[in-house]
Amino acid sequence: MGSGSSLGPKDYEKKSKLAHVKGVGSSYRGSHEWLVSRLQAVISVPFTIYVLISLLLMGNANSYLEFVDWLGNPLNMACLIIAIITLCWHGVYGVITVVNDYVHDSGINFFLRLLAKIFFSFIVIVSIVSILLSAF
Amino acid sequence: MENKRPISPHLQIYNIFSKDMTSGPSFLNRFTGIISTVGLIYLAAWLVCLAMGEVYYDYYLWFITSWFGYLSLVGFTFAFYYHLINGLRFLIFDLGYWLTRKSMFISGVWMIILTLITSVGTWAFILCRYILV
Repeated sequence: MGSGSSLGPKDYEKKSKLAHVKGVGSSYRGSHEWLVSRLQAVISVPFTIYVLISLLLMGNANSYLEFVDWLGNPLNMACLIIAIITLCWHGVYGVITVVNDYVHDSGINFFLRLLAKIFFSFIVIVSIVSILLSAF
Repeated sequence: MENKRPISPHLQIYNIFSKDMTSGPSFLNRFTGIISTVGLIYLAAWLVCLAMGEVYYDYYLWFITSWFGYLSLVGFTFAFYYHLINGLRFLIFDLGYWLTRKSMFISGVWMIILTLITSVGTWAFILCRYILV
């Protein structure tokens, strides 16, 4: 994850030539991932809380038809889809951070990060397709 | 040539029971975050069963109302509220507020109290409204 952008000219100027060649020192773009994960978290909060409260206040929690009706409401559907996307996006960043911190073998590290991205993409797509199929 | 670069302190360096309530809750924040991702699987499974029709939805209901289903849901509830409330607390730290030892302790205690109130409150609500009716 992280930004795919390469170092700009100004970033080169901040480092000595030796530091740049050896690849040591700050890359001056380390805060990007940190900032993104906080933004995802903040965005997901109102939508998730709306979905939770709305589901808790429903009439009969076990009724299949009532849940289908609930999903048919455009506001509920939109909030649920936004909540799932932001939560999974936040989740993949979190899992990758944990993997980077605790899995030191570069092969397993790469494999787990790949697995996390595939897994969360799968969850998002399956959830959204299911929501659309139920509602329409 | 081995390039020995400084590394950040690892888990065993910190006192997780420190009264500052920083590293312990931070570790738990990661743990509850991972638990919550399992909750996302339950949510996706619920939506899939809903889309597949009433027969499959009944299978999901059978699973989620078993003892394991309820245990998972209670766990997800605690994990979610903890991650939410402690996450907001750390967000306030990130913004540069509450960074004294006293306010870290007070906010930590309040974080635990609020987590318990919201989790127990949610399940008390569910019990009264849906299960014990």
